[in-house]
Amino acid sequence: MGDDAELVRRWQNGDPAAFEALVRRWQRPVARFLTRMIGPSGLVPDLCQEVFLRVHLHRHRYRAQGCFSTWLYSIALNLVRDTARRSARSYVALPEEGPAANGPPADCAWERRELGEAIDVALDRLPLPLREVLVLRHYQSLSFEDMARLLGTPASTLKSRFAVALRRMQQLLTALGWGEEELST
Amino acid sequence: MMTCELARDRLPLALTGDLSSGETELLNAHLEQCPECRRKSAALETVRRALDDVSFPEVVVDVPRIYVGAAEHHQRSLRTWRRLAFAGMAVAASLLLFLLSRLDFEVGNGQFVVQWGPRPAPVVKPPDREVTIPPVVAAPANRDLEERVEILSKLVRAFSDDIDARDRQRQDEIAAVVARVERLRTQTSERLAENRRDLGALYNVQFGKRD
Repeated sequence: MGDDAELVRRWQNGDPAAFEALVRRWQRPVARFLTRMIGPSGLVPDLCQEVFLRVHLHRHRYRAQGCFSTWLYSIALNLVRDTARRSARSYVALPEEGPAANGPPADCAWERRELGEAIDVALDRLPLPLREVLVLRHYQSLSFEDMARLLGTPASTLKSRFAVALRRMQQLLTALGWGEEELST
Repeated sequence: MMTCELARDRLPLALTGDLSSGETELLNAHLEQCPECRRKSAALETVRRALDDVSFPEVVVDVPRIYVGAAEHHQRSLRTWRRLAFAGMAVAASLLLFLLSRLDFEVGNGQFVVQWGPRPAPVVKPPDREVTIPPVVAAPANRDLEERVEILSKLVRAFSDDIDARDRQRQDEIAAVVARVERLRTQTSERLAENRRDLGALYNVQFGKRD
């Protein structure tokens, strides 16, 4: 966003209202990012609070040349990695291929809820490097170039990871009973 | 002409618009001809759309809590730095003490001599005539070192006693301040009670008359 840099400049010069404006503007995207990264747990509000605390503590490290959102997501991503390390959240192997135990129910609202839960589970089972790329590109709409700066990985590698992540999601959803037909209906 | 393998490799990026225009044209041309790749493209697009089918929690960040957290963080880091500074000073003092114990100072004959280690034994010019050298009874250097260690131990004990004495003195001072604060609190409470009594009396006088 264009005037993020202006708000950061005002905030670095001691204007607390500018910081509050940044928080109000970015709290929702950060919460979405954290929810997709760690799953819909009760931890999200506390982690979101922690992200903005870290932003406040490290405000002098932000350089105006960089994009504020990239810097913000780098802080959020480090927090997610710390949390994952603490909770020793590990990659869960793909379930055995085969007929799904529970297919999508008939009722539409219920079906959407079930699909949402299946996506949570599938994202949870995605290895962290793939999940990072998928979430940042799909949910946070970051370009591969911004992601390359954020993650310190070449954009070409990230593009490959994104392709792998999307295909892995397709496999996981199929394994969870959400194949092509169920998703199309 | 694009192969099926290459086309399927490019499909995820085509969905997000991350392919160059040339690659997109080649891919579209391939998809027009290949029903299997079209099917795979549609399946991936369905997955991508399904990813949006999730809800997100509403989170409101508490800004005042951030300020409180930041203040606590600064206090913690200040405490850490203070501890490190004390530790550094203690190490430096120990080092200085050790160096001083090893150095030998001598003033005399208009000279100030600083020497490392024990003083060497004076060189005795051998007499002209041949004499038998008496056996060495004890190494003066060892005695000197023992004396220094003794002095150093006394010095450390003296420092320790001094620190204890200062500590006791500080504790006495703190106790005195606490007692004084307690006295002041008692006096203030008494004064407050008196004021309340006076105020009650005044109120009674004032409004008692009106009634």
